[in-house]
Amino acid sequence: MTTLIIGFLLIALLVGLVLLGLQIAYALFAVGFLGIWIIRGNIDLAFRMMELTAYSGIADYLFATIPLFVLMGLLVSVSNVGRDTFEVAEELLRRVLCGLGVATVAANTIFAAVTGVSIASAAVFTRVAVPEMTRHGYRPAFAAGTVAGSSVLGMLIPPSLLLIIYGVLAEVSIGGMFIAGLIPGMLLAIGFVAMLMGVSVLFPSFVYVDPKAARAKRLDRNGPKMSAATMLGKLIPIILLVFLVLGGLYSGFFTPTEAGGIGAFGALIIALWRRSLGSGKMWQVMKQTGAISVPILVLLIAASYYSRMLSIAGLPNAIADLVRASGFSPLGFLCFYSVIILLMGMILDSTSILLIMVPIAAPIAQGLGIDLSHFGIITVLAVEIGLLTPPFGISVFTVHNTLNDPNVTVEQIFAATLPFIGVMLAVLVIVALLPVTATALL
Amino acid sequence: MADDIEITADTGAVPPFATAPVGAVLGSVANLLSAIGTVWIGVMMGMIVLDVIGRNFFNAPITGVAEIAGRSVVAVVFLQIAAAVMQGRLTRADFLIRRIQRASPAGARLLDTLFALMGALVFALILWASWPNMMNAWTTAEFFGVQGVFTIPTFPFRAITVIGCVAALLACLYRASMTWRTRTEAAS
Repeated sequence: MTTLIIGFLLIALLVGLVLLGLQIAYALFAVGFLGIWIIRGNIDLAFRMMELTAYSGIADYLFATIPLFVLMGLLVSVSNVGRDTFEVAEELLRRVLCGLGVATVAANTIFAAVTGVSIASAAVFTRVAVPEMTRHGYRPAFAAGTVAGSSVLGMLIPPSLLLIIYGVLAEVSIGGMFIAGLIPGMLLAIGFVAMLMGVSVLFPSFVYVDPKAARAKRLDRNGPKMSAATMLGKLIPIILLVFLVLGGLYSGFFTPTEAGGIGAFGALIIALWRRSLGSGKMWQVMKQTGAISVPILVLLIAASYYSRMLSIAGLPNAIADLVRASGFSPLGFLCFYSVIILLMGMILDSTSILLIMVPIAAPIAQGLGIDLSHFGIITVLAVEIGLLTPPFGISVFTVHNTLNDPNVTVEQIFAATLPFIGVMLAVLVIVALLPVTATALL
Repeated sequence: MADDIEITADTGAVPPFATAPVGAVLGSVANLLSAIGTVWIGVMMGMIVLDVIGRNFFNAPITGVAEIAGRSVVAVVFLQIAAAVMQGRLTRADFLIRRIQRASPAGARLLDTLFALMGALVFALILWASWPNMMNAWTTAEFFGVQGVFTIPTFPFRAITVIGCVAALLACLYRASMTWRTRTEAAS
């Protein structure tokens, strides 16, 4: 048996174990160990590499970004920054067609610039936007779907955990990934807005329970007005934070890790200033930060061990040769790859998909002459669609759990996110066809 | 005003000592390690902020922040891994096992027990691989950093890896036995 066949068998074993429900980190470690041992016939080497990965695999300044950006996201979430952003967006956009839907997307876009976790956005806006939309005659399921759909912006608009993880796995600059995510993120936001307006004109019954109430709200000129000063007061913290983090990153003033540290510290000051950290809240936030980031970091250690095994087996090169020999065009490969990721997205969570796919796929993409930042944006877009597809659509479940309304079923929310999935697929195709959307600002 | 988001971190409730002595001790140890890791994340943030401020405003960077932060990430992971195992927070795809659970609860519990043992095996492997280097680091006073600028002994960091693995290994075994026991109880 050639090492190549062994390599493929090991990948199959990994996929089998993961599907069966083995913790993904265990599966990656075990398969990696087995692989190095069998291929090299040397158990000592397997041990030595395991020690090396456990001790040094993620001992890099770069990996500190993960807990820091998670901490920042959680801090802005507890300090009501999301609510304020939505209130201002609502005030500014209420006269627009499908105004509250558009306001949700707009607020999510801005909020995405200070948090890297879709789940955080989904939880925040379920509490803030859904009740408000329902009150104004929108269908609750549509409102929930809008929140779930637009929360995926958090993963594309920097800072984003998925972009960081991709950058680490594909060995691309994380700052570069953040820049590459900007235009596709804006495209996605604009696409969502256009879709919401279109749907509310063409299929009002999909959007509203009571179109009249929504129309009345839209045409109401006498409603309570928010003064410009109040609006500014509500927006200043988030604007400062976005300016600090993204400005610092794009000007090259901060490394991603420093941006994370400063961003988390800025968020801490906002939270303290708003007095949202009383009665043990601070400790809860800190604990939650660990609870979210440690499983991701464990996965990264395990994945780096597994990719060492893959390179020992010579797999990335062999697969790249296979793909070249089979005459796949770059576009054909991207298409095939996106479909695989979309399928995986139905059963696996986003980090795990990246960990399993990127070490194999990135060398192929590079061999085919695809820019790795461009490839990363396609990967993250495809993975994000997975956040919305059943049965593992985490965002949808988060919204459903947070909403806790017996009248809105998970299935209804999944149905309401379908138009969003449509927009995401369209943006995916656009980005795949036009690499310039990702690489223009680099 | 209501909060935007409910931050309800798993408190990692520890069973009372009287009914489950092993679980109580193990749970407390895991929570203690995890709490150290939690504080460490905050310290790391503070260190990075001070470094940025010091460098840009007072022309006084803190030497070695990048290296220390890198090592800290690993330390935090191994400090919190036992708690993650105890509370079943490690990422997994549960769509199939939930179906198995419905069809045959006993089968699902058997699988879960095997998975926990698999975890124990993985941590045992890491432990086995890391032990000699920890002892070496102690006897040779190994350090990282730049000699003459700043040096930090690696022993504490290597020791954290080992301690974390031991705790995680025990946590896996504990979970395996707990899962297995509920199985037999359900069967009887």
